[in-house]
Amino acid sequence: MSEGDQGEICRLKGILNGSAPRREDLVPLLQEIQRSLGYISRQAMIRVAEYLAIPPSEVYSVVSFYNQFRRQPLGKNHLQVCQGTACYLQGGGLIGESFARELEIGIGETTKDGLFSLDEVACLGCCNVAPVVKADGEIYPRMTSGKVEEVLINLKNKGEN
Amino acid sequence: MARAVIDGREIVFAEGEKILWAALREGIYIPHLCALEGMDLPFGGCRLCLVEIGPGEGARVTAACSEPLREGLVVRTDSARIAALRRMAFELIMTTHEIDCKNCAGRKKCALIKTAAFLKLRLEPSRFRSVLRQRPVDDSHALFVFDGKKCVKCGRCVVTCEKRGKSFLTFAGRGFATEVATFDGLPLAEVCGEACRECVEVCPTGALFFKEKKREKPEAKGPDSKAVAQAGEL
Amino acid sequence: MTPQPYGEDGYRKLKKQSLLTFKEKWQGDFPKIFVGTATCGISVGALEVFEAFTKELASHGIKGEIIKVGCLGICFAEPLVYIKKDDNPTICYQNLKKEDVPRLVYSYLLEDDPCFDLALGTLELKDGIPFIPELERFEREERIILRQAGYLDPEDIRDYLACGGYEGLERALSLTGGEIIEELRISGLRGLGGAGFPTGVKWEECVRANGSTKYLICNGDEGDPGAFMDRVILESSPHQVIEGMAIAAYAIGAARGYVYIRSEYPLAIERFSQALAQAREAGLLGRDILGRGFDFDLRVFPGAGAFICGESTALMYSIEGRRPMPRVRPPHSVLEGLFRLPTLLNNVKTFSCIPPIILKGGDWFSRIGTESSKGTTVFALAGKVKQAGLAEVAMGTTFREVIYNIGGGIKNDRALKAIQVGGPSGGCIPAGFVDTPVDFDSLKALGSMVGSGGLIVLDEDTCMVDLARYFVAFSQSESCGKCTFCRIGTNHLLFLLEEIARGQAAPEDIAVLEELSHNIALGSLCGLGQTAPNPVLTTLRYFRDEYLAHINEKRCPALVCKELVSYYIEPELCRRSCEHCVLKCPTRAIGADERNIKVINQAECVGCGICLDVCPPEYRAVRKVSPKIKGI
Repeated sequence: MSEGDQGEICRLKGILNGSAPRREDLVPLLQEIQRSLGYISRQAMIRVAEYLAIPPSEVYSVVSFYNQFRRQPLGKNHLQVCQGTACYLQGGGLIGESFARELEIGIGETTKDGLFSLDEVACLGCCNVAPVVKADGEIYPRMTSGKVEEVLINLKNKGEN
Repeated sequence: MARAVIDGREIVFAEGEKILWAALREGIYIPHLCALEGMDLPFGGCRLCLVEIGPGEGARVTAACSEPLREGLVVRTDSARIAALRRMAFELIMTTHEIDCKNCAGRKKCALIKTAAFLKLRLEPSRFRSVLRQRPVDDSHALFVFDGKKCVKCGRCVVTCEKRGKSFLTFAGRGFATEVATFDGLPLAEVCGEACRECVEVCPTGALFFKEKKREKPEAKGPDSKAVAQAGEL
Repeated sequence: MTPQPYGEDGYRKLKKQSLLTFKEKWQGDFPKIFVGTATCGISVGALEVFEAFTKELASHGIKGEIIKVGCLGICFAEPLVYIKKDDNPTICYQNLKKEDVPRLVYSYLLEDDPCFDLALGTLELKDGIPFIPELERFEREERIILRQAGYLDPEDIRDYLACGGYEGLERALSLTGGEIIEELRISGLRGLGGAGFPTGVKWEECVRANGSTKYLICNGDEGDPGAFMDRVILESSPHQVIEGMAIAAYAIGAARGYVYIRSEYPLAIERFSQALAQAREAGLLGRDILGRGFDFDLRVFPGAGAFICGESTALMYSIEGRRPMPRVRPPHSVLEGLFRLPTLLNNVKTFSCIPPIILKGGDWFSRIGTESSKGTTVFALAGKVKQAGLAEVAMGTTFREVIYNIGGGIKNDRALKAIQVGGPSGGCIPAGFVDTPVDFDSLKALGSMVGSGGLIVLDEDTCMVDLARYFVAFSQSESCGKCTFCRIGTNHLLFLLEEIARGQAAPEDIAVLEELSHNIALGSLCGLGQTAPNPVLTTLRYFRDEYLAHINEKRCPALVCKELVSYYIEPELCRRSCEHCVLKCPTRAIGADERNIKVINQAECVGCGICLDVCPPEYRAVRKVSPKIKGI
């Protein structure tokens, strides 16, 4: 077992330590695991199932249903292109395509170097400055396809400094 | 005992009985894929058993598997609206099903063939393209095989396995990508070591079938579903 | 502080103290600066503005207080700050940048110049200050649900208590459950989650349900991609929801409740959880509430990203830790809901209406709105409208008032083409119906619904086929996958719309599209599937010619559908020495002819639109054309 696995088990044990676990804790527990580990591993699903005394497949069934749960770690920079109605109507679709083209990945994927993950999201709640992109928690307002390159360079430079 | 009317025929039913089972008992056939008798909360996913309830213009469409009969209820299974809905539901299901009856182990028990015959439809959808999702066949288990390309997501195996407290088979993914799957997609042999055959027995198609009955795949030949559909009618 | 049994006396003490602090806050001797810090404000820099004020006040040694408040609903003006100084009306400043803060602090707080150029208007509706208009939108609006949003500090229960908070609960506890429900019945309140079911009837049914354990759920899983009012309420005035829920719990006899909030709203979850803790501490939740022997407590349940969880039975499975696929009905969830026990579920807005109804009476509420739809509705106004934001209006207000008087009209003064109401489950209403009074029934007659309350204003640049495709793509990706019509039907619906948008459909496909839509609406198991075809059916009803243009002429009249649109450079307008488009084109599709006039190689063009963006506005040489230009 690698060190990474050991660390993961340790953290899982820290999360799965309540006294009277109930099935209704399932989603909140998975959210906490994802906050801590960055994603939901097979190991994590098995441990949660043991903890709640339910079949592991039912944990898997729930994990695979929700948008929030990831089965892979995120890239260093997380790009979320808003596709809420206001953003979409003002060109959000083209912006998503431009990011995908520049990064040479699809929506929902991570670049090979692990630098960027690209997602489309429903609504970031910034309709007044649509279309927007959220990168590492920061909102880029009034985006255009033309600014895509700039945003990526910006993020790369930030990482290097 | 109370009385209700289905397609103009008065029938007697027990308190709480669902339309589907009462109608079948009375010899009024209503197509269905996902319904399992005795479930107090039916799955209700296949939508083949839709019927109309209530009088004339105000009639409401509902699923016969989940709608309980009430005293004096008027049910229609033969209206034009129901015929259109059934046809549409069936066509939609068939766009996600691999039609390869000749090589299919489930063709004898196949509820799709039976439904097509009853609805007088061909197995191939006429208005929509196939949107079959390719999946590898899982033949790792000693007793049975799972071929996801034949699966119609009726959930009968999932519900049955869940009832036994095992849930070796479950639903995974969401929306159009919903699949019947094992934990994290592991081979069946790794998750289910049991000799229970209930999932195979409840499967209405050839998605789950016993190994010994699996036929050798003959020389590649196009599906001949029309012939099979006609055979089903006989 | 450790939790202590406040009982009624403790509550009275806290209430008295709150009144004093609140009065001091708004009328005290030194200036007060209120900064709107809901998600909408924070996303455009409200926290930086907050910090800038802190720094400026300190550096000038000005005694003043900077207070975080929620959202007033005028999102277009964020970051939004209002300043109360001396006896002046409260002045509201819009789109404030941190760079504006030093000047504002110096000019208005030190001197007496209110910086009219930064101001949007005054909050109080009274004359006095010249040049700053009162905000017209507030005169048109009728605020019940948003009554306190933006005025209160959502992180301090005392603000809410000072403004009549929890007095509805006080009164409710002196009534019987039956009397409360009777008041609701008189009010005519209908559920504001979309379906419009009479709230009183629902509560009554839950009271009649068998069993002594009952649950209460507040549905805050606002998943519509164009709606954000529930978020604003939860972030700006969480206590009104808690109070409404406590009243409901008392009326139906529930001891436990859940508030389901989508995890995409972290600030709402944080503030609501904080509000719960404060309410518990004040003895307004927990054991023996206000000393009346009534026990009730609440828990926040964060959603995990699934639109379907707005459907009540799916939401309940989600809480239970099961796969959230809606189930067949009957039984209805008022009889058999969460953990298969009787459960009352209402929306954030519906619960928000309860305290004022109990305080002011059902009669008062029933005088607002129309014959069949009482009270108000909240719209999330967005799209091609000048002043996007939230608008709460009495039922029966026309679209014209909402879009023009409250929203300030169409961006760039273009023509209104249509109004999309209710998001993916609603429909498109053409501009010709702009004078329709909005209520549950008038919208239904037009093929739409109030739904989530998203109201998207569309101008001539919107392609109706593309819009229908957008919403169907959303519903399709959010389908739970349980029933045939929704899982497979919406997939084919989307495919047909994509073919039309690509100019690859045949005229007879329209009939298939229509029949498929009708059948999905009729045959789906739950509300998501039943309403998913609405965007298609309404656009087919009102904008059929646009569908036909795509199919017959391979032309997108609004110049939106990528496969039918080409980018073209007008030779006469192209400035030969300028290379902007050439340098920025990601596929190097732009070259120049012998006169150095730029030409787009159509075979290489991917339609990203960058050339149109970067062509300097003084030339405007790039334009879109449809049908597509063939060849080079």
